[in-house]
Amino acid sequence: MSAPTITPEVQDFLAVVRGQLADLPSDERDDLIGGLEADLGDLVAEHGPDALGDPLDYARELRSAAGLEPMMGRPRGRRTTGETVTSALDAASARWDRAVSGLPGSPWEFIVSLRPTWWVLRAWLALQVADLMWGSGAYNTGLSVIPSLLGWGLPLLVVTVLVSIQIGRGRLWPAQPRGKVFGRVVLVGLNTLAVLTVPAVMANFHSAADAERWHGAPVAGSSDVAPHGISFKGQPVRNIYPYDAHGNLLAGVQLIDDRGRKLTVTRDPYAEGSGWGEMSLVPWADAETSQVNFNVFPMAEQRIDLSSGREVGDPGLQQPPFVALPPVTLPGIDVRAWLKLGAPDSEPDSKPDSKQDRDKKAAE
Amino acid sequence: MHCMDTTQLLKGVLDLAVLAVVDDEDGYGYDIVRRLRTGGLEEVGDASVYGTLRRLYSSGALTSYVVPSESGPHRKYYGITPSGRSQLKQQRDDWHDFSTTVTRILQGAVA
Repeated sequence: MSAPTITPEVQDFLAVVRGQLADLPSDERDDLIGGLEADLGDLVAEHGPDALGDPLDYARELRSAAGLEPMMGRPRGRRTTGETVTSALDAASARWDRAVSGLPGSPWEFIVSLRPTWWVLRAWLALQVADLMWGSGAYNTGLSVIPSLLGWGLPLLVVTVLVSIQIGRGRLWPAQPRGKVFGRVVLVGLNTLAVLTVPAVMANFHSAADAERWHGAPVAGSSDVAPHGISFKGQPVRNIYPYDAHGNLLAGVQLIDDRGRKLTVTRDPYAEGSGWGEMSLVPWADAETSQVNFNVFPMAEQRIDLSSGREVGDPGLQQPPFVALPPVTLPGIDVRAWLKLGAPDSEPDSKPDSKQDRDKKAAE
Repeated sequence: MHCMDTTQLLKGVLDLAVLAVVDDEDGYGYDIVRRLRTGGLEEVGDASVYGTLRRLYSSGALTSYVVPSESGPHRKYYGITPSGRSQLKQQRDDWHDFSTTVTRILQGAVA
């Protein structure tokens, strides 16, 4: 058999036929057309180009004999990954709907009506998880209702809630553009994650009862056991350096709050018995009872060798953050008179008696 | 197995004829058309033959292989499979039964 000539007529003819097979998967179509090319070349070689006839009729006959619809239907190519995923999600969703629609009392409809609450809740959960990982959770001080997140909690919560609501309303990616596979998968994944974090988050809300259970009930007067000492911007405070109105450093300042409570710093912020890591606090003691007070500042500190847990060197007062601060005033307020109220027996501007003075007085 | 739907049967006849031709000897599309025409089915359309070849291939009655050529395009050859052979035998018997029945009826009807 001589090799067939593939004339331009054959090419054009095949192009039309090929177009009529566009609804087939591309490899099937190529298969069909490929075989035809040589055969039509033969036909033309024997009977001339007129033997080709109308390509549309040819395509129709071909389709009919091959068991396809005579006219091209909807494109039926091999499914892309996206289509497979979408149909899987749709099928799962339909199965779920079927399963819950028959339940008495329509519990699923009720839950669906609570959707906006879920939008708020998932934003809150997201922030609590973030707090758990990097914020107060890292210090094991437990979560609070408004996540503290190093002080950024409240504004971050507002922003996250807004974003979550907009996603829920379909105004924001991954909910928009609607129906896009990747966004849909991401949304399903994030929602599932949020649901899964609920038990972990709830477990980390430490109540006062929990604190007592772990640290023991505080002994009356003792300021040593303070599970939640002073904190600032969500982080526990380790030490306080007081300066007076002239800007001079002070030592031995005992802090009491407006309710008469000792403002203590916690000795063990991580609740593991490891204290502050490489520095451990050396508190002042009551001059008469020798009981330690964690509300007297600044405290001395003792270096700890982390690997052995042993003390290194001697305890001492550390380098303060500032040598001195600028002087400050409280205009319109008679500070001296107020100070006199606190120490009615002392002369104005006089220092409190030192131990030597008191001993001297006692001896008199 | 007797199919009284005539369109199916017409299609089925072509199946049978194509299977028989391929069973006789492997061939490529136009070659099979030529053999059918010289065998007496002069009006058979080549598009129908190609479509039938495709359908028989999809159903497993035929196998196909490509023979490359140095000049010009490749040739797609069809051959028959064991499944195709049993289908051929079955359809041959069906056709024989059907045609004898119809012939008998026609002989009876002719005055």
